[in-house]
Amino acid sequence: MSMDERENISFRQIRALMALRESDGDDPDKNWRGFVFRRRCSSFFRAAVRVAPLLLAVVLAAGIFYLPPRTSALEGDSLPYLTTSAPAGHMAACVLPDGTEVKLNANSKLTYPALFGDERKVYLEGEAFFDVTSDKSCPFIVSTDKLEVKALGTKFNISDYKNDNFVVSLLEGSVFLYQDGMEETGLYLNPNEQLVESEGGYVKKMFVQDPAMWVNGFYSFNNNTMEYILSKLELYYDVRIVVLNGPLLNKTYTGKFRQTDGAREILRIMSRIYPFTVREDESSNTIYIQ
Amino acid sequence: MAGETVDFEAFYKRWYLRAIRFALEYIRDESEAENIVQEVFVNMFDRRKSLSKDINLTYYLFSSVKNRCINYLNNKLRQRSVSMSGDEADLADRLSLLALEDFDVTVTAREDLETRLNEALSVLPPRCRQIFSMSKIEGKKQTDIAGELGVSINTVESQMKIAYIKLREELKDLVK
Repeated sequence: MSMDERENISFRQIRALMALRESDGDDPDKNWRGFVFRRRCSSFFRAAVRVAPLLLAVVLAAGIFYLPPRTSALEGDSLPYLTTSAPAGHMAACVLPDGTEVKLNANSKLTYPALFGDERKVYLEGEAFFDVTSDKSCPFIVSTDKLEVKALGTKFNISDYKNDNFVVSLLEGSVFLYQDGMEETGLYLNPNEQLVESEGGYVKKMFVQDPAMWVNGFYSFNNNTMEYILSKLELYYDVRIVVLNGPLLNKTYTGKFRQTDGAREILRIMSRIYPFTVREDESSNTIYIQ
Repeated sequence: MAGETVDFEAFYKRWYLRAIRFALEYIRDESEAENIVQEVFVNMFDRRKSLSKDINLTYYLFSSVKNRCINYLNNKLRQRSVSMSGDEADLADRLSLLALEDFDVTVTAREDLETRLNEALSVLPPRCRQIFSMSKIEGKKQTDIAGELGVSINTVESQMKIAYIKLREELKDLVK
């Protein structure tokens, strides 16, 4: 790069920075009204799309052959979205329009379009296991708060609970992870690898324990600290667990529990290994451990 | 929209036009710049409930705008390269792409950004500041400024250069 080009680029940066100042002629109210208006138009279109399948059914019932428009023409913001969620203490499963199977762990939510366009994009809060139907021409993307996970016909688990570290674990196939809009800085995972959020960054490592054991209704812990286990129980069962005995938090446990046992029962079983008492205050949904 | 995690209206009003001006610095096509920024806001609006409070929204906004502009420029260059690469417009877009890739979006998240920019501008001599503020997209309108102020194009050019150099000095921690 020549000096002139170098200089040009740094001048351009100054211009770009200056573009971020408020400018005299700005009328943000007018722009906002425009935005609201456009949103309203598009929600009307959304409503129209929602009744479209019904109309289609009527047309078909009348025995008239009708080819639906290619789904790609309807992709993006204009599609109705569906939501499957699993409340605390329960799991849920759903099959997406493309045949992909999803299992949702407790306290989790999946939002997806009723029809997929040129890409299959779904939004996840919490934890889910995906068995993605392979379709190379139409990437499957799980969008989370933290990262975008692009699957290429695979089985993988994502855990993105609020207040917990983000983890993606790959069981079969291949996935590509990147920050929204920054695809060029993404990375691939191989089977048995996971990406774990840690101290503001991400670390890639191999996993030993099956990260998707929960899919079969088990919560399994392998030499995990009490602190870790309690934080998981809080997430899965939506309770608050207060430890009144500090040193307990560093104890490690190994064990496998049935998801249907519930937090109290799991804690009771654990208290046989290292003794502590469990007290439950139902009014405040809190379990005290001492 | 009361009670929502993000005050989207205030955010939109504060940043919409600035984001368009930012995009215009690189893609030089008003309707495209508007489209890109509009799409990013629509996308953010649809996701506003899942956007966590920990994400700096301004950073998110400008990262998205930056990336969409990069994609736009790349597409444009790719399409054009078949027919006539190396012409002037092509070169300008390549330079825009380089400049944009180099832009560090983290500065957009700084609380003191606007203060810093205004302070830097206030250091310029009045005439120089006036000419800098009047200048639009690079390489254009210099003749208009010269005509309007009754000075030569050379004066405009040299004042612009002084402005850039002074501003770069003032903002050196923000510019690579």
